[in-house]
Amino acid sequence: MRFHKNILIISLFLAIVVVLSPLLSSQIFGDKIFDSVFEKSLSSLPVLRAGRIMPISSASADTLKSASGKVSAKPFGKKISSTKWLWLLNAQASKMGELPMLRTDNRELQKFLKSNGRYVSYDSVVANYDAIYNSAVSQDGSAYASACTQLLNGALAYGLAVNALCIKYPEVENVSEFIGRWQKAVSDAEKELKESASKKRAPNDEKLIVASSYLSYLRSLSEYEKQNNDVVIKAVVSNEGFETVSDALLDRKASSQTQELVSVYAEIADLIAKGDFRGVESPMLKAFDIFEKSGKIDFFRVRLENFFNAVNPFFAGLILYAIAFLLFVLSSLKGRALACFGMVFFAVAVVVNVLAIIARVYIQMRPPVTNFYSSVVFTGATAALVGFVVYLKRQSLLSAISATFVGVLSLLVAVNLPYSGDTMGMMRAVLNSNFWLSAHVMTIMIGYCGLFLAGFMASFRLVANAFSKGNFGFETAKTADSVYLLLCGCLLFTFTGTMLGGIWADMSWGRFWGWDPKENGALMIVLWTAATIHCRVLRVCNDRMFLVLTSLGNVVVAWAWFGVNLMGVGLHSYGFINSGWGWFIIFIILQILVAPFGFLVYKGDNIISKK
Amino acid sequence: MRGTLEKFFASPYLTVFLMFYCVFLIFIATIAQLEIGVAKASSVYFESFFAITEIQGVPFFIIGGASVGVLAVVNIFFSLFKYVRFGVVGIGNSIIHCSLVLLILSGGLQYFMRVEGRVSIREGESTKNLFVRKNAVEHVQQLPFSIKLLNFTKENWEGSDIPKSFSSKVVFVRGNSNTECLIEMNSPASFEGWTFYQTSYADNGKVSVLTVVKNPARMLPWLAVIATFAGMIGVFVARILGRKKL
Repeated sequence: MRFHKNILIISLFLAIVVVLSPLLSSQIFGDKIFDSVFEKSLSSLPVLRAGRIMPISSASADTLKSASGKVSAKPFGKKISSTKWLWLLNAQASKMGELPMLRTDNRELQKFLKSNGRYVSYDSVVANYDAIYNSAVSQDGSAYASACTQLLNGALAYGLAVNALCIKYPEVENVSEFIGRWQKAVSDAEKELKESASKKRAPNDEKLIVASSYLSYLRSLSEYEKQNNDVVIKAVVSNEGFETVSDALLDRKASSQTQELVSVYAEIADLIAKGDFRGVESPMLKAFDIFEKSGKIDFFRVRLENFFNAVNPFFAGLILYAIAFLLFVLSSLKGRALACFGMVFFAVAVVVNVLAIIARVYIQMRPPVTNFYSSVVFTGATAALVGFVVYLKRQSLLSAISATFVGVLSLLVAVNLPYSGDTMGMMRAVLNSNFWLSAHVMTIMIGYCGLFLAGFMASFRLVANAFSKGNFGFETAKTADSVYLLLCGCLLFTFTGTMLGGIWADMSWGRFWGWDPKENGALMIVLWTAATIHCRVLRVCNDRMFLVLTSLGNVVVAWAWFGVNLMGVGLHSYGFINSGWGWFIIFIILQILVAPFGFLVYKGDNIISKK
Repeated sequence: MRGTLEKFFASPYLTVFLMFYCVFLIFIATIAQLEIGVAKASSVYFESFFAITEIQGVPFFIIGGASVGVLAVVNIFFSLFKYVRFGVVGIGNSIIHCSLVLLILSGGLQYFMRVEGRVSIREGESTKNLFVRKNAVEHVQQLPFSIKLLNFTKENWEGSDIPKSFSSKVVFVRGNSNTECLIEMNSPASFEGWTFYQTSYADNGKVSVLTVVKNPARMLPWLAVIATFAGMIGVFVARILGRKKL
């Protein structure tokens, strides 16, 4: 391979620009006080959500994504980050309530709420709450019912977020004033109760009314938050850990630290409501001080996660893989030079993908695969890495094309996964075991990604045969050889991984094999791969049929991986996801359509016929 | 006659057919699970020799998992004679396939020998009752000893409701002997051949639910799996070392 030095340098530069664009655009075009990752900003303040300490940028992104399906918002026309959205929401809840921020894709529901597009306002959901709730719990299994459930979940996250950082009492203009009034009302009421007890007279109700109305408001808020412990954002640090603002206000024994943090956040919210973003810096630094003094925060990890959010590495990886894929495909038609460009983008994509996974492992302190999202991301990275190494050794365009394709697909799936919570979420008890997580899950994932790689190599070869100008028998045989080796390796991994799953299950649940959908899927994959290998070894079929069987293996893997998640039955149903059938079916159909290409036989003189 | 039988049972077409048929069988069983549940689907499709099933209202005759298992064992056995070679690769392959036979046989053995049930105990109380469910029929069996729940603890991830781990401290009482044990999620305890797994809890943590299993054939699948893995490694290493260029 001839290296064109200038081409390499230019493509490296372009690749780095792609990687850094999300970061640069948020740092240059965003609001520094909200979004800066290199200096202290509102996005890196720590909060607790779903059992994990995270920066506000993560908590707000999770909430916003569950409400609107995106991690940024355009409430007033201009795009703002999720951090800014959360602070605006807390500072100006009533103004934000009218804006179309909650998302539903169901046309019936959109019409019912009289919206012009996919987005409806929080206020309209609240106004029609009863009707939506009744449809959601109707159990008729319709798409409308599940759309209502989804919308209510989004509204729930949104409604809880409104009081995450500070609390606005309905008639009171600003937050700091409310805190002042609350404290005064409490001390007035206490004084009155003491006086009336000592003077043995009934307490004067007028003096107690203000306190009790504030009290009942805060109490109902606190109750509501407790019922949704997994979704609520806890922003205030106290002696026992993190608590919500309402709990902090209700806590009579709150430490001075806690009280100070509550007033500092109130001050920030009020400044934001007035539009005075400059003035926010000083109370914000006070807040950081309070967190630092509490000694409970690992700031390095929080800031790393904040930085990670701003870089958005998986999105950058997706773009890079896509560019590399296109370049490699063009190179197979036009000439080798383009492959040099492609290789650079490919290399940068792999580096970014792997570094991102390492960062996630560090942030979570877990092996790379803990939930569905991470399994998809990990597979893409592994396939890409393997394909990259194979490409370096053998200069096989086919492996480069397949590997970048797997990279694109996996990150596309990951970026678009219907939202089911924090992607770095805490493990349920049954999965809380680092050793087994690594052993069983990673082994299986490596096997699956190898199978996809093999499947795509076979598919691309078969399709390319139709456009091939000469005798493609030799190329087909070469590909069949490589695919065979790859399949043997994959069989080792998938078999071992599946059986390790059995051993893990035997140790934890008391049975080696339970025939639940996920286990069945894994066994189907092992059997299909073994059958395909046996076909070749026992000479039951020829190269082309072997490649057809391998490519159809993609259907089996897709079923085992995504299909059973869409089923949600059995002990393995912790990966359950609500939608995605459509894309799944499309993938299956496209993959099956490759099979007929296996019947193309070269008959000499450019005549291609179906046998 | 004998030659034809041998040819049939050692046929590579039978091998490949059995494996692809398995994929199909598992798939329709998984779909059936949606309607009839995992346990019933297992007994209809996997634990039977033959069955008549309905796909979209049309009745189908299918070969069940037990038949497939028997045919697979016979096929492997006859194929070994046909294909076995000496050398690391040959021995490795033999180990792989013999271990797979062991795996299939252990599945059959466990079907007959394994007992699984559930025990629910309230804190401070003890019980001997094991609720066993076989083929969708539930009955109560008596354990040869009693088990008393001293304490159940549930730990959540900080500030959330997501369970991190649960555990039960129990005492096994048989005659005069008392054995205290801690049963945790992913960390079961055994007593007199019965193994207790922490499965779940009820009544806000006042009742602990344990799965209890007696399985004399328990180690066979482990052995089979490890041997298959060793065989595979042997074959791969020998093949890779044997290749002049990769």
